[in-house]
Amino acid sequence: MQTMHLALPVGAFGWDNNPLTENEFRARIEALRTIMAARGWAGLIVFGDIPESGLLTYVSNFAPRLSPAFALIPLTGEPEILSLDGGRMVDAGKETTWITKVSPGAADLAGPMQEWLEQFGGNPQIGLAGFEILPAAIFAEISGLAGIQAGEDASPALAGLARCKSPAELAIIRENCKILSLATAACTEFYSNGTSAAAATIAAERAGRMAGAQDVRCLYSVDGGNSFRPYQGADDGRRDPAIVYMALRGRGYWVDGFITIGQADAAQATAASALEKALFAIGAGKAVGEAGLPGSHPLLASSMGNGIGVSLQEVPRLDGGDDVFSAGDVVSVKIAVGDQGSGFGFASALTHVGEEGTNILWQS
Amino acid sequence: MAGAGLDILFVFSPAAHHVDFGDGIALISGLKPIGPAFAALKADGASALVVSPAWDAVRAEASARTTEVSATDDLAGTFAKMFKGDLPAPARIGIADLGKMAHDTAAAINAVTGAECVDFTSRLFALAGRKTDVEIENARQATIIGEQTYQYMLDVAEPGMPECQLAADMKSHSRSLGADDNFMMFHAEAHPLAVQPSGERKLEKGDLILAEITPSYRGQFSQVCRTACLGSPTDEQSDKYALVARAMNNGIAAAQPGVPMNVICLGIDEVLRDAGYGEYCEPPYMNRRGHGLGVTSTAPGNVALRNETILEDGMFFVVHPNQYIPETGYFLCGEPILIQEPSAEILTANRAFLGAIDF
Repeated sequence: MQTMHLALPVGAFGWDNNPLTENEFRARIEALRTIMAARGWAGLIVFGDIPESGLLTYVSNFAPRLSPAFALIPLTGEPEILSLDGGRMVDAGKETTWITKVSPGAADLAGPMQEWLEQFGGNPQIGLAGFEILPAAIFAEISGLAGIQAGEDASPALAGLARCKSPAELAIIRENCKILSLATAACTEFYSNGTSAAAATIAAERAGRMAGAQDVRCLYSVDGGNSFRPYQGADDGRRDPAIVYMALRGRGYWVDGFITIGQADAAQATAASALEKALFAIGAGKAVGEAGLPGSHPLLASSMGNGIGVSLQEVPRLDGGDDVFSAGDVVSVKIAVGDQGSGFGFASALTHVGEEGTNILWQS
Repeated sequence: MAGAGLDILFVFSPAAHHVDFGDGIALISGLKPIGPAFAALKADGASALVVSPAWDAVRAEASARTTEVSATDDLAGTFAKMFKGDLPAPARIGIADLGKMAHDTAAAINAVTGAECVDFTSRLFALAGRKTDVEIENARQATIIGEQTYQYMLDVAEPGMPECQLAADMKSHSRSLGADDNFMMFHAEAHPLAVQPSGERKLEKGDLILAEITPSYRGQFSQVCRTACLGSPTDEQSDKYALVARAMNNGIAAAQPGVPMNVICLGIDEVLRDAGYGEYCEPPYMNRRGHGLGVTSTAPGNVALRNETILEDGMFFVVHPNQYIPETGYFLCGEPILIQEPSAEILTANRAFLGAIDF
């Protein structure tokens, strides 16, 4: 779900302490190369920016914090990072990735990009991932290069790989769910002590950050769930109940959920009951449509949830389509029940789809 | 717009929220967007704001100052629906910041407007170089939060704490004081070469902690640049920091309405060159001595030798020598200033000095 993001993420981004190993990333690159070979791609370029860096994170662990960056992955040979930062920022970026070659592209992006593309000959076939968020001005700098203009969309292929979580990834997500629980507990406690919903939201954000989150993005509602807003400063608004949405990222992986703070109402109970029903319908091989259909609330109008991991919104999307849950999926399920007049209840859960059944990782 | 012969101006924002870039939507509408957005201003005074995602309609309608407000999940489609076949010739259409939008969105917009529109980006942000009374009040509040956040750091920092955790704590603290954002460049080591985003290194006794504290209050950033020693600073560190602070004050003393921005830079460099640090006033050690502060507009731009923008009443920016000194390492030292007849007002209550953290 889209939320307000803050300038310059602050947190534990370092590669040295990352629980994922270089072997895990190299295995991803090899899986990608199988796809690349099948598609005839000589190289793959992956773009990531601060608001959305998921696919870049998936291949590199590189974290854009001031400027966007590209991962350049040849069919054979070592991957490299081309960062749109310069100078000292590039040095800081190097500390976040297993990839040894991290180059600055701030002063000249097209030059090093062209140099990299030239290794593939005159008119290479290139896969492009994350380019749907690439700013037009940056695209204009490189769109004339051989391989870019006719590049093929590689985002779905890469997203397909990122969908199935390894045991190591799942362990990170479980840790992040613990952080989410700490943060939501802080939110509940502050609110029960009489603070505003905004102050409770900031308490949750602080608890999340202090427990290791790299990024925390929240929304809150004090009008019965009719509308949500990001924290914009002091706000005295309170209502029983208030609803808070919280997304947090730790070691590159997102978790998210809704919580109801203050005295829960009938709508929340109805939402919780609907959530149980939706969770029962999730399992390997089951159609996403069986989990239910998007509701009437604007926040969840197009999807009642989605896969989650390096991106806040991954596949599968719970939009009533014909996709099927697969073992390895981690799914964020979100339910809103009610109407504008009487208010909405929200409930959500994070669930892991395994071969032998599902496992709830976090539930509101 | 009239001077440029424009009938309509389209302003775009990718909602990137970067301290170094202005946000045209925040500038035009007063709303900091969650997702990509555009605003349309007609020569007759009518204005429209379209934000994304669609569910942000309530917030947008409550706070935007445009005459029309709507929200969508399909920005390019909405743009086409609103304006296709109903636009003047491209030469009478102004465009600002379309290049920051996703390239597919930008291409779809160009298909409606034509590609030969007038790029109004630099003129739009230059027009906003003088802050409004509201922005100035918000800058004052942001500065107070910045100083309180620095004081908080002096109170809580101790050896063994990962620098990223301290940075996160400071960011959270400033948020609890009312900041809607805080661009926190924060870094520590015994002999820092520059400031950079925080890492996971644990603080050690004798570290110089560099804190570029940049809170935003109601969409207006301010910046307070400080250095503190974890433990007692050496006499040499204190002396060299005092030199950098003196250089900053010399630069700020030159700031007044009617003079070019670069006089501030010359004033800073003068003191440092006289002290024998001329080499360190040049690239790669030095590129700028401060900068404008968004989020609406970063005009009047960088405090740099090449910037000849004439200072005017109401301009707001940070002056930060932020100097590498070979004997001691890099120092952060900077104050937010407001150009105001007859000179410049420093908005901080306490001036930069080399802090000492007892533990």
